[in-house]
Amino acid sequence: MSSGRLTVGIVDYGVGNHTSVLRCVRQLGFRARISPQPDQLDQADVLLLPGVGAFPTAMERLHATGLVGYLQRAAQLGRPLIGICLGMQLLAESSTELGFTPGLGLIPGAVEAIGEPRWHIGWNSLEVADGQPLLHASDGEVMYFNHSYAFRGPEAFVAARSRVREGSEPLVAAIQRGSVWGLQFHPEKSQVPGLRLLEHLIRAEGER
Amino acid sequence: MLRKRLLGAVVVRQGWAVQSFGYRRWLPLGKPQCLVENLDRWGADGIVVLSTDRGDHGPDLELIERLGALGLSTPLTYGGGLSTEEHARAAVRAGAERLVLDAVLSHNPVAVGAMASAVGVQALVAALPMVQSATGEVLHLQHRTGAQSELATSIRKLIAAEQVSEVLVIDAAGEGEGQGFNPALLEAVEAQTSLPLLAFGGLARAEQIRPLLSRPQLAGVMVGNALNYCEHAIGHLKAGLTDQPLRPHRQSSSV
Repeated sequence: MSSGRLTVGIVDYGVGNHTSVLRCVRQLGFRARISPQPDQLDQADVLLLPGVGAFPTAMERLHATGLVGYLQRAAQLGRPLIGICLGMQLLAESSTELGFTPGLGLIPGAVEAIGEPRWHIGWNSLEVADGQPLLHASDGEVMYFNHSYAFRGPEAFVAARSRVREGSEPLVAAIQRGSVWGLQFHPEKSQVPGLRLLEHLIRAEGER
Repeated sequence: MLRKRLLGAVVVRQGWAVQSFGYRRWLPLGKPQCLVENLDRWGADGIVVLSTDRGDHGPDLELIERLGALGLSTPLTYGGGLSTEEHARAAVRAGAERLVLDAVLSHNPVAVGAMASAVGVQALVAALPMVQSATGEVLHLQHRTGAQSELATSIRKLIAAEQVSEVLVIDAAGEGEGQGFNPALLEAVEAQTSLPLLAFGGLARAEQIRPLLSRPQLAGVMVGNALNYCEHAIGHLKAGLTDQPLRPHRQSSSV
């Protein structure tokens, strides 16, 4: 672990582009490194698991790079871990995207098709759940979403929601279990509100 | 509630950002990264870069990487030369969040399904350049050949099967002219699909955009040339659309 400036380890499992997350984290004033290597990631105060694409491919890559066990152990040890977009969905027990695939199982719940409408694409406001002081400042802020599958699980782990239409069933926008967090939106692509939320979360969890 | 989007478009030819007029005439503007940085700084709801001369050369990965390296805090969509699953993977790896598909929709529809499996359906947008004939018929324009025809069965099937998540309807005749978007084009596509639609072409002023945003199926509008005439053009446009369900304007400066 570092002293002084916090270090963020961006988990590289060969899916999607991590450069924008890296640039974003550095712009926020943190040290950051992208790596698939456990010994490198061990140096980080906070682990960040980004992801775009399909759930089965991502899990396949996490298995292929030997990172499934690493991330599960990190969570058991209470190390801060933040999953973004598909990275959040990977924290769940399973997904039905393109067939049933077990996930990392770090937060109870499953990832399923959104339903109607099938997509949640664009900018939507967050409804932060009660008892979430770390997200409280972002309640009502508008973030960028881009997904067609969503987390469903026990209320106890839901940290924030969003609604496609007024009065419609809410979609889970953020989840939390201990130091493991999942953000369905892209904070790194949500301009000032997203950057503020991410900075706050990294700092709070990294300095805990 | 999900907001409608005001997207900034950057048209690229031979590596340079250009003002495009009906995809027939072009005036150079400068480096794409300068325009993209402006749109990011001005708080656009998304940035769409369209490389219109890629043909069979595949996506311009160098350009996407250059843009990705800017550290944008605005979602980046790329279109141009995307015709295979590997193109889609490579474009996303290079830094694009979403992809605009055009020629591949009719030339190789099977590849679209493979792209969807590779990068997710939510990443795929179908571009449909449309024109209205003198007799009022709305036709699909094939950019490469200039041919105009009814929407091909393969494209209808792709859209019906929701192998893409949004349809970008392009007013090909009005593009770059600033005279407004022909709503007949949207009506024709709305009759084909319930997918969310984006409109691009001819949009320059708030009063041209407002009636489009009132259409329930329209998820957003794209503006190109008109954003290049003044600083903070996104904010100026949004200031005239505060009565619309857009994300409130906010400049994307550092935290």
